[in-house]
Formats: sequence, structure tokens, C-alpha cells
Amino acid sequence: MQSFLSTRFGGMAGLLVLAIGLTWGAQFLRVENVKRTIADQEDAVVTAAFDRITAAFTEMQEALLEYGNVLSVDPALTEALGRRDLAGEKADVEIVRIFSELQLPDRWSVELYDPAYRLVAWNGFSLPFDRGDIGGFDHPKTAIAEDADWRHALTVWHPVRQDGRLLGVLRIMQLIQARSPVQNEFLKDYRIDHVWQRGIRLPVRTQFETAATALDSTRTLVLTGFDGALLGRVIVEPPSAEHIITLNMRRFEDVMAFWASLLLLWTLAGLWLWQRGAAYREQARVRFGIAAVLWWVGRYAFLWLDVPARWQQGKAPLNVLFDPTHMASTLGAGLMRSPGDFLVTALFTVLFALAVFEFAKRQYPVGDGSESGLRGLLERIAPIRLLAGLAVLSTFTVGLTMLLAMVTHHAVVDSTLDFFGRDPLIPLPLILVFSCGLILLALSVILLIVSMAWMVIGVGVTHTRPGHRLSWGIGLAATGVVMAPLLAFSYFPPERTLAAWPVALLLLCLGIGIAVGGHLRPGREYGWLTLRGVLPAAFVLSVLVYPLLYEGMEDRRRQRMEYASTAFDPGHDTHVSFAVRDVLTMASETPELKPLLTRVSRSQDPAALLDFLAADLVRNSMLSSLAAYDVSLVFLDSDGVALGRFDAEGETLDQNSRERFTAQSFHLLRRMYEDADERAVLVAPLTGRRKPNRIQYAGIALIDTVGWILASAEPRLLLEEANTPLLRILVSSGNSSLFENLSLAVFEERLLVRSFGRRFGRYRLDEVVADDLTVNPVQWRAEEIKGRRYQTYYRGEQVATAASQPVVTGTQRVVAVRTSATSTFDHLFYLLRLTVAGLLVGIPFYGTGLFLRWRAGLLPAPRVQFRDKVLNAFLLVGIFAVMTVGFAGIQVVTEENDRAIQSWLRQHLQRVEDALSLDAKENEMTYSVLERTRLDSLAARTGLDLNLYRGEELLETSRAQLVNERLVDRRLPIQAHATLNVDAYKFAFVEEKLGTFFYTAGYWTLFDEQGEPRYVLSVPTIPEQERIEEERSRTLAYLFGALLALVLLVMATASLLANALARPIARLRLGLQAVAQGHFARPLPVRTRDEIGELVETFNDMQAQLVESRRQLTQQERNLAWREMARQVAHEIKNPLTPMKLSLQHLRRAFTTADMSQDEQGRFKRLFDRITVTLVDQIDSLAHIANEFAAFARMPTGTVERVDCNEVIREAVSLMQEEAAAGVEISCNLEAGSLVLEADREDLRRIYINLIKNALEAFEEGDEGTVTITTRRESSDGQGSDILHSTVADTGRGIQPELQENIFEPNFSTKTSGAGLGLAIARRSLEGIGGEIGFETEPGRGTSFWLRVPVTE
Amino acid sequence: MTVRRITLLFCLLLLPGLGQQRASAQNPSELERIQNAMTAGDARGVLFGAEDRVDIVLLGQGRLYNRAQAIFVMKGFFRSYPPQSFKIRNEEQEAANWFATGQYTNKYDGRKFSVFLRLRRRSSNWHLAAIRVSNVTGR
Repeated sequence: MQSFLSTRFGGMAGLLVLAIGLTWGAQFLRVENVKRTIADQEDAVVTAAFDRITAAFTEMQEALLEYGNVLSVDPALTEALGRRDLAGEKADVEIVRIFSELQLPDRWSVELYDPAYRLVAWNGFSLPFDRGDIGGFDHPKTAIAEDADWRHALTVWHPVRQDGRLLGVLRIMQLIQARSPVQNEFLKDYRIDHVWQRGIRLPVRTQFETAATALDSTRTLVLTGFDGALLGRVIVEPPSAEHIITLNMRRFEDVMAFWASLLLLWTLAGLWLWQRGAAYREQARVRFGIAAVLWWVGRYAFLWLDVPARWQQGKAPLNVLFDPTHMASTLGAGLMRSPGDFLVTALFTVLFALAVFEFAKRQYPVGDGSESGLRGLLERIAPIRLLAGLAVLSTFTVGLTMLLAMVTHHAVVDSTLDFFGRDPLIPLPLILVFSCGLILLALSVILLIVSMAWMVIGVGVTHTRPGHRLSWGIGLAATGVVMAPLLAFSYFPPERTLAAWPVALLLLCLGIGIAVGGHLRPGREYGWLTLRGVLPAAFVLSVLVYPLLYEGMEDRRRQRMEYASTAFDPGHDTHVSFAVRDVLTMASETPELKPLLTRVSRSQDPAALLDFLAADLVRNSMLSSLAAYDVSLVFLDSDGVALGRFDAEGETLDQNSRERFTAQSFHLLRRMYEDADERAVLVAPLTGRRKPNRIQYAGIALIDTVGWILASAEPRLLLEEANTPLLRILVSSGNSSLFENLSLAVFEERLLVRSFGRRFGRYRLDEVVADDLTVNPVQWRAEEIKGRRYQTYYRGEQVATAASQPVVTGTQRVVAVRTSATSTFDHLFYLLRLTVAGLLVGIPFYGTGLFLRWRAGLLPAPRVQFRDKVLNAFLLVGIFAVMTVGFAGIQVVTEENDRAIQSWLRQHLQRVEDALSLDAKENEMTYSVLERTRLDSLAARTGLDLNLYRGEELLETSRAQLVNERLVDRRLPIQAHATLNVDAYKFAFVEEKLGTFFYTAGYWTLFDEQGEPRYVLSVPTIPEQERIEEERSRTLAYLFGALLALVLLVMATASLLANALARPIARLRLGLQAVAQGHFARPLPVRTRDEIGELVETFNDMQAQLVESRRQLTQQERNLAWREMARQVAHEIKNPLTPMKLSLQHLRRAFTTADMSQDEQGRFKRLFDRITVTLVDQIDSLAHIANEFAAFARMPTGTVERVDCNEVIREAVSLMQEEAAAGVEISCNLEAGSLVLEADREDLRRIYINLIKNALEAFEEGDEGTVTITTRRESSDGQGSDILHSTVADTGRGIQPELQENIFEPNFSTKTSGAGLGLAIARRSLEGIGGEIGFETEPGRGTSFWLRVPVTE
Repeated sequence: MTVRRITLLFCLLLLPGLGQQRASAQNPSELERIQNAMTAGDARGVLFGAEDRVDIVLLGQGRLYNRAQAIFVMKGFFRSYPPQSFKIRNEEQEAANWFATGQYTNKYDGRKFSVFLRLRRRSSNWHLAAIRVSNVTGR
């Protein structure tokens, strides 16, 4: 077998090595071929790319066309359009309703125009179109819609006809290019060529100009519509020769890596079998050690092969698993270099732990489980070895826990995943993967500790040293050696592992508990692989992992807060002055600025061009990443008149204020510039323009004699101003993510001078904090402010006063960073999410358990315990209830949240109208006030973002930036239009989104004197959305935290209740089983007062009645037996009495004729002799019968002693040799040596004599044959005593089948003489010494009786 | 034999920590060295001697990464956008900070990126603290 395995293993390994070699050869040939035909290869790559792009573009067109085909024949739409001439607006109402209910794919928009190309209805974004391009078509046609260079959309124009009459035109659009002003987690550029590029892995550029340009035709694909229209071009850059060769090599390397991986797996499997095949214990240990080392070598080999990551690159969705931007740690030299590798390492670890577990189970068996209880183990301990083992176990546990803590800490700190984010209950996939990895590692640790505990028990608890009992002293010593490493760990914890101490204690208790409790012994593992095992295990593992995870997250959060405090500290914000200088340098070096400025100043070009240039310059400079600053770039003419500008904060100030501040800054800087006599860029810190103690960085640069460039960055202070807050969505990634969920503040001389976020509500630093900071300049404080708990980091420093500078500085500066503290419900919520990961890990284990139980014949279960049924029922009900409550809770929270948002929007819009009303003259309508009020001024007064619509067109906005940069559409959403203008409501709200940022906007109608809608005011929740989401998430966290507590309560209650219900029933069952086995003595104790108690009492009564009935029955049986015995005895005795009586009467008659002749005397003499012989025979027969009955009745009466069975057999054979008829031979085939039994020598001899006698009587007279007596010793294989197996076999006539059943019954005999008790006595005698007897017979061939008796040695 | 075993064990224990050793070597023209590494697409070179945690923002996606992770992140960037050239456009050095902006050109399609670098001085040595790569937008 071994050699067969070796052959098979070697054969497969050889095949795989051959496959690697062949693949390598193929790679070589391929690369050589590619080198020879590189030009063809380039063309082939480009052609393949063109094919894919063409197919994708055609598919897009077909999707749009199909939508148009369906919508254009919609009966409701065509019917409404058909009635338009007659019904007018009433028909439009129906059309608007149809359009407002359309569900469109992402980036789609649909518009409906009448035959005169007037917009009737729409759904989605708007893009301008040139009517000249679309007019006069009879069939669907394609076009590219363009919005400057912001957006491009593939467009299908589709006529709507009825009976040949043109009713309208549908315009269906799909965005294929959208430029985002900023790049962050919500907003990103979208380009169809990037999508194609990902698919074909070649650089792709698209041009949607329709003008003919000279392009390399071999690299350019012309995009045409299905109607033949020229829509654009795609330029595919062919890869370089080197790149093509690399790609080809890479393809073969991937295949070789596949073969190598298979070879590795095959080798690891072979290692497993090899180590299991060890012949003896020492060899097994050595082999296991080698296999363990090679296992981890195998893991590193996979890392070296970059498997499986190499097969995922660039392919969704698994490539994200191996993306190091989410997690990468150098701990373990690559074991955790990505989330996917971390998971693979965790899988390797858990398999390793399972192997160790199996090895420990095999090498250190603790017993058969019958003495698995603590008491059983304590009876057999070797104290010194046990204490040493416990010390090792405790140290091992501490070490493993530290390792787990270290791995967790690194995994958390070295990742960017937000484990404690306000995500849904089911964590994001990557976090789920990471959590599963952690759970698997914790499971591995438990398995290793249990294995080690087994080894300790195996070493410390012996089978051969009975009599040692655990005294108190040993108990205390054991506690000491177990606790010593733990206490050392708690007093001298390694860095960042404080949370690991309780985890280590818990792990130790679990490990020892599981090992001692024997729950994982052979045959009991399945209990852990059931639903009731997996569920609590998932929870326990989550509880174990959570503190370590939390500690890591806490550490990461603290690091981020410290880093943020540094970045926010005015003493460290020199990067701001650099950013200002940088943008000024960039602007002054921009060649088109000077001519443009000249033309704008002469009104030859619109000022908007300068605005766009300013926006581009800011966005391409690092100024755009200054999240906590209001930044601006202004172009001025030589007199200081602003001609173009970009203001990140522009929308929060009204026009007058903005111009006033610009003029102030310009004049100050210009003076400084002229004083400095510089001809380059000047940047200087100035006192704030809105608050005297706020520093702003401003700079100025001269553009020859044409004009000036002014740039500034001013820290934002939210507290004291009513302006709308910063829109984080408009900030590029960078500092915004650094400050995410943080509030920051700077205090100078205990007064707030700068802040970011909303959590600092006080303008003066707390006196206690300020005083403490003078003693300890760094403080971490848990604070509760107005019922909310926060964690705040304070860092104080003394800064020198520099009176010469135009900045205001104090002597004490404090930078504070604040974030929300984690509440108990937050902990529960996060724990619940971790448990979800635990349950996910549990699924394969449960599946494996199902398979193993099915294979072991335990499924389907033949019997289900009552306790299990109760527990399962409770669990099901509990889980169902929790899920129902959870689902309902989410619904309620969501609805309440929506309602709160609506209420918030309604109140704010009402406030805007109230503000207008205050300015109204007598009888003046609010719309009229609005017409003479600047919207940005109104927005600043109300602290809201405002949009103003007339009809469906956007007239004005306080966030012009959002509109200019195409983040907010210029058209009223169709849903708002339907509600306000069609359904005639005053208020509407619509769910909208910017990129992937969802928010709600409220719409409010202002009516004219006729009661008709005049304007629509809109307020979005964009600035508030973050807070709203946080509130919602917090509420959900509370809900799910409470649900987790409820789940635990349900599980605990279910367990307790199931035990309480099942225990008395189990006791009752045991009682019934005892009764079934004939044990009536013990009544069950009654411990409950409920119906089950009554049942137990009734059972006890029944048991008592049964005892009495049984006593009476026994008495009756005994009487009957005696009667039967008497009848038998009488019968047996009567038989010989008759011949005795006849003989005596005959003798008497002979005697009465005493006067006998000589012949008569001789005859009498013979008669006398015969009769007396008969009488003696009959009397002997009577004595024999009496003896047999006596023997049967008296059991046992003999003296048990050590008897050599062989010797007894030889005696019996010797006695019976004379009885053997001629032709029948008695022979022995006995085990060499002695076979000592504990038995009565006479009984044993009688058994063999009876059996030999029966054997001899199995021959007819004159027959020939043999009677053979054999003995042999059967080994017990360590399962109790050896067994004597003996046979008495004859070659006689055998036993007829109808007689075989009664052969051992008393009073059964086939002979005319004897009582038929011989075999019955033999069986009873053998049973008395723990033996048994049986026979095998074949009529006509002979019979063999066998005996099995335990040997005494 | 025992000594050899212990030595082997010690080496094995050291193995996981090898990657964590901190680079401490310093080059006086640190910015130039980083520029060369960027031009060569050498992520490890760019991050050599960087701060423990580096603020990296690549095309709108960014975080505070630890140095090891930052190496992997930059490797990914260089793989996606292999460099054709990288030139420092503007730099400014102060007592504790050294800022630079530059332009990075992609080898495949000549696409240009704006790069911002920030180095921080600690005990007279400069350590890379932040990298920000963003698209160059323009009309």
C-alpha cells in the first residue's frame, strides 16, 4: 500500500513537473515567435481591441434604441400625446406622470419633445442640443450630445408616431464622459474609454469631435451610429514590443504558477499522509515536526509564486481582495500583504491548527472518555509533570494570545478599512473577509491551546500511577503556575497588547475546559459541528477577537487624531503658504493668462473664461486639498478690479462682502509687494479679514502691466458664522479624509481661533483642561458634553510672541481634536457585525459536520432529544423574532429619518419664505420680494443653500459652483415638477445624488397673485447629509446593539429553559430504562412542583406498584416452579418404583414357595440376584435423579479456585476413555502450557464429562468416529482478560434442527435415561464464572460444543 | 547541536520582522533621490526612509498609510501608470518642512499628473510624509 501510494504520488508529482517544463518550453517558443512577428502581434492586439470596443459601443446603442422602441409605442404615452392638440396641459399632466415613474439605469436620461422640439417631459440630466442636427428625420438616429467639455452623452433620437403622424420625439441619452471638478470618494471622472481600457488593457482615448481630422487609420477606430452617423473616434495605443512580450510571458507564467501550485498542494497532501503513516510514537513526532515546518514553507512558496493574487490582477471582483491599498503589512514577510493574502494565511493557520489538533488527539489519548471527568483525571495525576505541563500551557497560551494580538493590531493599523464605520449590519465585503480571517485565527489559537492542554494532560495524567489525589497544596501550586505567566503578562504587557490579557485568560479557561471536559474527544467532535455548536462558537470567537480589534482601531484612531492635530496646527501649516505660492507661480507661468486678461479687461472676451481658468488652476494645485481653508484665486486688472475669480467659499458670502474683502486684501498686499520691491511672488500671513485674530495666507503676483493675481487661504471657523458649512463633497481627497469624522479646534490664550467640524461648541477652552495642559501638555480625555460622549485629544504648547509680525499670537496655543466616543450600543453593534463574520466562517464547518455525521450514520438522526427540540424551537423563534424586529426597526428608522428630513426641509423653506415676508411691503407677495433680493444674500441670512427655479429652468443658485461644474442640473427634477406643478402641492422632496453621494432636496412653491406657481425654491440637505447619515447610523447601531443583547438573552433563556424542561424528562427516561432493565429499587426524586413533578410522583407510584406486583409474581412463579419440580420429581421417582415393586412382589412370591427343590432354589437364586440388581440399578437411578435435581437447584455451591483447564480436561478424558465404544477415539488438542481459570474444579470436570459423554452417545453402536477436545487462548487486545476458547467436537449423528432450540433447556433429553439436566447445568455453571457455551451442528456430520471463559492470568 | 538549533530558531523568529526594519540611511539631496525613484517607478526607493505613516492620495483615493502599505500602494500606481518622466516644478524648504510639486507623465499615453510631495525634518533628516497625485485637468 505504502509503495503504491509512493508510486502514485511520485507519478503525479512527475506529471506536474513535466507540465511545468512543457509550459516553459511553450513559453519560450511563443516568445520567440512573438519576437519574429512583433508587427503582426501589434496589429492583432489593436484589431482585437477594436472588435471589443465596436461590440461594446454597438451594445450601448442597441440598449438605447430598444428603450426608445418600447417607450415610443407605450399606449398611455401615445394616447396622451395624441390628445395633446385637444386636451393641452391636461394631456401633459399624464405624460409628466408617466415620465416621473420611469426607472432608468445609472447615467441615463430621457426627454420628450413635441414636433416643434419643445420639451414636454423628462427624467434625468439635461444636455444642450443643436436643433439643426436633429431636425427632419423619419427614423431613429444617433448623435453625441455635448456640454462644453464637461459631459458627453451618446444620444438616440426616436420618433413617436401614431398612424404615421409624428406626435413627438424621444431623446434617450447615456453619459459616456463626465468630468468631475474634484476627485474624492463620491466624485470621480467617468470616461467610457477608461471602461474600455480596463477591458482591453491598452491605452484608449476617445474623441467625440465630428470634424474630420487626419489620424493614423491603423490606430484609430471610427465610431458610427446605427444610422451611419459619425460619432467620434477611438485611438488605441498599441503596446510596445517589450510590453507584448511581457504580456505573453506573463500568460505562460500564470499557467506555470498554476502547475506549480498544484504540485505544492499535492506535496502538502503527501506530507500529511506521510506523517500519519509513522510506525511508532517517536517517529510520528519527528515526522509531524518536519511536516509542520514544510507546511509553512509551502505557504511562503505560494507567496513567492504570488498565488492566487497573480490570477486576479485587473479582474473584478476578486482583484480588490489582493489590492494592498486596503491592507498591507510587512508582518510575517508577506503573509499579510493584502486582505486576500491575509485570508489565505488564516486558512493555512486553521488547517495547521487542525493538523496539530489531530496529532495531539492521536498521540496523547486521554482515555476512552468514560473517566473523562475531572474526578477521573485527578485520580491519576503525576503532580510534578502536571505542574510543569500547566506552566508550559499557560506560557504557551500567553504567547499565542500575544501573537494573535500583534497580528490583529498590525492587520488593523496597516489597513485603511474602516471596521467601525457606520455601514450596514452586513459588513462591506472586504471587512467581512478581514473579519473572517481574524475569526479563523482565533479558532486556530483555541485549537492549538486545546491540543497543548491534551498534551499536558497526556503527560501529567498517567495510566500506571494510581493513588495520587490532588491535594489542596497541589491545587494551589497548579493555580500558581497557571496564573504566573498571565500575571506577568498583565503587569508587564508588551506594547499595545493590554486587551490581550483578558483574552488570554479566557482562552486558557476555554482550552483547559474543552480538553478536560472531553468535548472534542473522538466521536464527540460532531457536537461542535451542529447548529447549536457553531452558533455559540461563532459568538465566543467574536467576543475573543473584538477586544483585540478594538484596541487596534483605537490605536489607529489615536494616531490619526495626533496626525490631524499636527496638520491642523497653525504652527505647522507652512504648507498653506507654499500652496498659495505654488498656485501663484503656476498662474503667472500660464501663457494664456496674460492675453486672456487683456481681452477680458477690454471686454473682448467674457469674464467667465477667466473664472474657468482660475478654477482649473486651483484644482491642479495643492490649494484644492486644503480642506479646512477657504481658498480663492482672483485675477485683477492693473487698478485692482476683479475680472475673474474662483472662490471655494464664494457661495457662502454675498457678492458685496466678497468684493470688499478682495479689495482690502489686494491693497494691503500690493503695498507690501511694492515695499518689498520684489518682482516675483509675495506670500504673507495676514490677520483675518472677518476676525482680527484669524490668520490667513495671502499672496500676490504681478502679470507685467496687465494685472494682478491674488490668492488666499483662510482657515474656516464655523462657530461664529451663520454661513453654510463646507461641502466636504467638493474637497479633493487628502486632508478631507484625514479629518473625516473629526472636529478640530485651535485655542490661543484659551480662546477659540480656528475650528473644523461641529463638535467644538464653546469659544473658550475649558479651564480645567487648560490648567491640566500646563502640567501635562498632552491629554486624552473622555468628555461628556450635553449628553454626548466624546474622546478628545489636547496638545498644548507655548509659542513665542512675535510682535513684529502682522499676526496675532499668544503664549499658549492648544490644538484639540475631538471625535465621538464609542458607546455600549456601538460596541454591541460592532460585535454583532463581527458575529456575522463568525457565522460566515461557521457555514463550511457546519457543512463539514453535516457530511461527517451523515457518513457516520448519525444523519438522519434516528432519535432527537427533547432538549434539542426545545432548544431548536426557542432558537428558531428567537432568531425569527430578532430578524422581524430588526427588519421592522430598519423600516421604522428609515421612515422616521425620511420624515425628519422632510420636516427639516419644510421648516427651512418656510423660514426662507418668512424671511422674504419680513422684507415685504404692504400687500407685496413673497415672490416679488424675491425678485428684488439677491439669492446669495438670502442664503447667507438663512444659512442655507438655495436654488431658484422658474418653470423647470434653474434661474439662480447660491452654490453657483455646483451648477457651473455640472454637479447640480439646471433643470427641475421631474418628480418635483410632477408634485408641484402637476399635482399642485406646495412642498415636494426628491432623493438626489452627486456622484455616489445621496441627499434629499426640498422644493417650495411661491405663488403669484393669481395663485399660480411663480417660482420654486429649493434647499438641498447636502451640507447636513453627513450629520443626518450619522444620526441614522447611530440609531441603527443602537437598534442592532440592542438586538444582539436580545439574541444573547434569547439564547441563554432557551438554553436554561430547555435544560429545565428536559432534565426531569431525562431523569424520567432513565427511570423507565432502569425499570425496563429490571431495576426497581430507586424511586426518582421529585424536584419540581409542576406537571412534570406530578408525572414523576405518578411514575414513582407506578414503580412501587410494579415492585409489589413483581414480588407477587415472583412468589407465584416460585410456587409454580416448586409444583413443577414436585411433579417432575414425582414422575421421575415413580418410574423406577414400578419395576422395584414388581420385582419385590415377584421375589415375595418366590419366597413364599420356600419349599423349593434344588432347581427351584437355583432359579430363586438367579431371580434373587437379578431382582436385587434391578433394585440397585433403580435405586441408583433414583439417586442420580435426586443428585441432578439437587445440582440444578443448588447453584452455585462449589468452591471457586484457580484451576488449570487443560488438566481438568485431561482428567475428564481419562475417566471417559473407558466409556468410549470401540471405533470411537477421544483425542485432545490443547493449548501449550496452562490455562488457568477461576472456577470450581468439580463443576468444570462435570461439564467436560457431560459434553464428552454426550459426544460418545452421538454414535450408534458400531460406528467409528472421533471426539476431539481443544483449547486455545484468545487475546483480548488490551480490552480486558484473555479468553479460553474450548471445543468438544464429535463426528456423530448431529442434532436434529427441531431439537436444537431446546438443547440447553432443563429436563430436555433425547435419551431414555437421565433427567436432561446436563447441558442446562453446564450453561449455568459457565455463566457463573463469566463464561458462555454454544454449539454448532450439522445433522449426519457431527456436533461441536464450544466454551468461552475468561482466563485468570 | 543545541546551539545550532537555537541559532536556527532565532533566525526563524527574526524572519517575520525582517521586513519591518526601518530604513535610516539619509541622503542630503533627499528630494532629488525621490525624484529619481519616481522617474524609475521604484516604489521602495520613493518610500525609503519615509515617515512611519505617509499620507498618500492617488487620483482622488487616499489615506494615511503605514510605510509598508505605502510601498505596495505606490507599486500599484507605478504598475498602472508606468513613468515616462517626473520633473519637480516648484519646491520650498523651511525649517521643518520641504514641499515640492511636480509633473509626472505616464509612459503609456503621455497622460500628465500633478504630484505634490511633502517631506518632514526629524533630527536633521528629511522623511517623506505625503504624496499627492492628481489628474491635470484643463480646458
